[in-house]
Amino acid sequence: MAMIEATGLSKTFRVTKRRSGVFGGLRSIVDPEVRLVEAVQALSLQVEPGEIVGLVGPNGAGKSTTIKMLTGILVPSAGEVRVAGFNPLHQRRAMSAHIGVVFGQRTQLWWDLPLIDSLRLLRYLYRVPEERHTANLARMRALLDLDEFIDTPVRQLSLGQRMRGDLAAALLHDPQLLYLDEPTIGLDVVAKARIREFLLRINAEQGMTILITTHDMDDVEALCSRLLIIDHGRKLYDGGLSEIRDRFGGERTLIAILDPAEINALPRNATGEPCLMNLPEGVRQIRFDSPRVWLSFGKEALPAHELVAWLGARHRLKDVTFQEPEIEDVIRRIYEEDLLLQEVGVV
Amino acid sequence: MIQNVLADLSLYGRLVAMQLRAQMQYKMDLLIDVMTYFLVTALEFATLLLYFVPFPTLLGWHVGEVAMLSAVVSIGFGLAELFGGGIDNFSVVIRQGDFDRALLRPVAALLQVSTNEFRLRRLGRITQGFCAFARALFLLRGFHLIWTPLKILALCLGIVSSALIFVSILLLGATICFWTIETTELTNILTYGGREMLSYPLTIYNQVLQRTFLFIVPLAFGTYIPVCYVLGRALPFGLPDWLAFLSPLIALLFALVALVVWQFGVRRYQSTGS
Amino acid sequence: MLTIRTGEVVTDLSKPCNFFLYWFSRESGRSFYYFFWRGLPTYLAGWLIFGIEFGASWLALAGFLGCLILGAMSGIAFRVLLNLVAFWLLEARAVIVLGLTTAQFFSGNYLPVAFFPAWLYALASWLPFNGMINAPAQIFLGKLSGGPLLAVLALQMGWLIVLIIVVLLLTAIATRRVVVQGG
Repeated sequence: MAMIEATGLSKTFRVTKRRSGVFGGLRSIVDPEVRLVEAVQALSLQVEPGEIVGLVGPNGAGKSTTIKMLTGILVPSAGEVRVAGFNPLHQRRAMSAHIGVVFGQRTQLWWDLPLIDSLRLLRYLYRVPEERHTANLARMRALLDLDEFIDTPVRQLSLGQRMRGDLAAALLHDPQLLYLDEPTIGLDVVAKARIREFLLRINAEQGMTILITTHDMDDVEALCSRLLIIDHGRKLYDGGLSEIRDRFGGERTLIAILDPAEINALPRNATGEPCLMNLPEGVRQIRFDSPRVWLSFGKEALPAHELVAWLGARHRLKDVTFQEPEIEDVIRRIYEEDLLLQEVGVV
Repeated sequence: MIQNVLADLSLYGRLVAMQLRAQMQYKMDLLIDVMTYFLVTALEFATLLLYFVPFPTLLGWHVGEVAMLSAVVSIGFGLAELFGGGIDNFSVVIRQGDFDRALLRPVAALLQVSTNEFRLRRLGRITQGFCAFARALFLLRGFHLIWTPLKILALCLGIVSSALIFVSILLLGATICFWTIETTELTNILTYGGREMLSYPLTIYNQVLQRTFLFIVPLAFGTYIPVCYVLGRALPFGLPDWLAFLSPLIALLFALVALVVWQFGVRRYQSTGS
Repeated sequence: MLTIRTGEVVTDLSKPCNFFLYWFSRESGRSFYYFFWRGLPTYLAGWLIFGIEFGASWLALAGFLGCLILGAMSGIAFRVLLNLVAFWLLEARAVIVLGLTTAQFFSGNYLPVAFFPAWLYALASWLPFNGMINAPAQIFLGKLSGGPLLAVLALQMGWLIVLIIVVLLLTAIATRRVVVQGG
């Protein structure tokens, strides 16, 4: 049985637009301007137990709305959902004992109390038997290194600490499914790595199903076996990472900062822009903004370090940086290529 | 079923205990808060007593009798403020988007909301209520008031009932937040206004207001009627005096209505997601 | 006065004159808003239910509005004063609550000032709170006019000036304090 099964999920909002002008407020009450916003359109998805699925899309794509419908917070306008065998809307309270949710920007913990108090309190909120709770708590403390700040009030914790606290809180009742909404947002590199390592571990050891919403491509690459791309409420892609990497994420950008004298020596192209000549197969110059030159290269072309070596041998470089393809770029390309998606699983 | 209720009650107790512990950390601040609130409410009571300087009676009610009425209302209202803090504060929760969190747990959302805040400083009003009651008894010493166990029961039931009704009003006000984000002035009219108005004998108001506080927002059942019973006064509209013992039932009915409206509000929140 | 707690007051206080004007105009706006959305509906309700009408002359109306404005401004100044005093004390809320309650009591919000016992009435008539609610109400009802009306207006104006001076003084001291101690 699938962990999450959603068919034709839709959500349309009625947004009343406030009329402008001095008496706009009054007019809005009497004769409001109503606009229908289709936040999610006929979304179908299926997540099997033990999968880690990434949900990505630009802001306003409908990710949060989808998550809210899956967790029972929001009533769908159409479609059917089953999570862990429950109907999120009608069996919300029963289902919530089987899921854990972590919001990146809002905490589930009690703000003024020490972290340990929140964690202890959750035992009663979720009706967890004492021994299981104690065991889980000890395990979370060890895995997430909570001891150093477990007695600090939550409002005094740093973002990384609070996120670890929230993760612990979400897992104390042994859920089968974990929703993460932007869990690494605002965290430093070390904290991000830690969280990812933790997630991989609980997935490997407990078979925890994880659905993670993120803007961070590194999160996706490190964690997800599958990727769901949403934009304008529609599912644009549902499949493996390698496929998408090959099709769209394959091209990386190298930004080389050249020595100024070097730039003057370069030949000009048709538009009068300095350009590098005889670039290796699969490498092309896409932009020039003195003293920087942007080179785009696919995975099939040559490894990054070889390209750097090639450049360094022929030109005087001051510095090089790499730019990974943005998710927004990927989605834009998907639009441009007019990609029609194969629905995976349920139609 | 009973097990669930007991589990919920124990959870309520734990959540409240947690709040209390957090607040007790700042004992000095708390004490000052309680004292300030005591003084403020005492001033309101003093106002009532001052009224009787130029006017010896109020529609036949002696100062001691009105003082008792005011004391009873104060205690009931104070209890409601104490236990209903989280509900009163609901507009903040909604505005900050923290209500979703309550929906993600296997516990009734209302239970979580009502334990969000526990305003210990409201003890100031409750203390003042008791002091006012003592003052009322002193003022009534010439009346030879006979106290029976039934009268005491009626008063206690009344106080608890009025507290429940006040909390239900707060709940109705909180439910409006699902539509408007801000509690409207309407709730304040019923809570603060109700408290003020019912501190005086119901009979000084016109028929419409009397009926409102008896049959629509039945605060009078928890305050005016039990006090009439204690003082041996007749009830308005020729109502029988055993109604004084019916206050808990009426309070429960009103609370039930408020609960239904709340559920309706939660459903609406889930439909529009705002 | 959350700005004091969060330290934003440092930027606010860097221009003492503007600070007061800023607060003043903000509170005036708020008062105006409440006048429309609380005051007028209440008056209309009173007119409909109880038949309260304005019975006196146009001169009295002028006096009424004048007193109302003076009273409102005094009220704002008093509130700013309370918040400034709270700045020095640790328990801010208690000061403000007590101050406001006293103001409400002596302005006749709890019990009409006319019902005060003689000694309390005498005290109330000298305080700035009288002009906030009681005096305008008396003018409205036609009970205060002519010489006594002018006396009340003069007293209210005097109080307004005193309050503003005290507020400006405290603001200046507070500014110096904040600047010296670095917030």
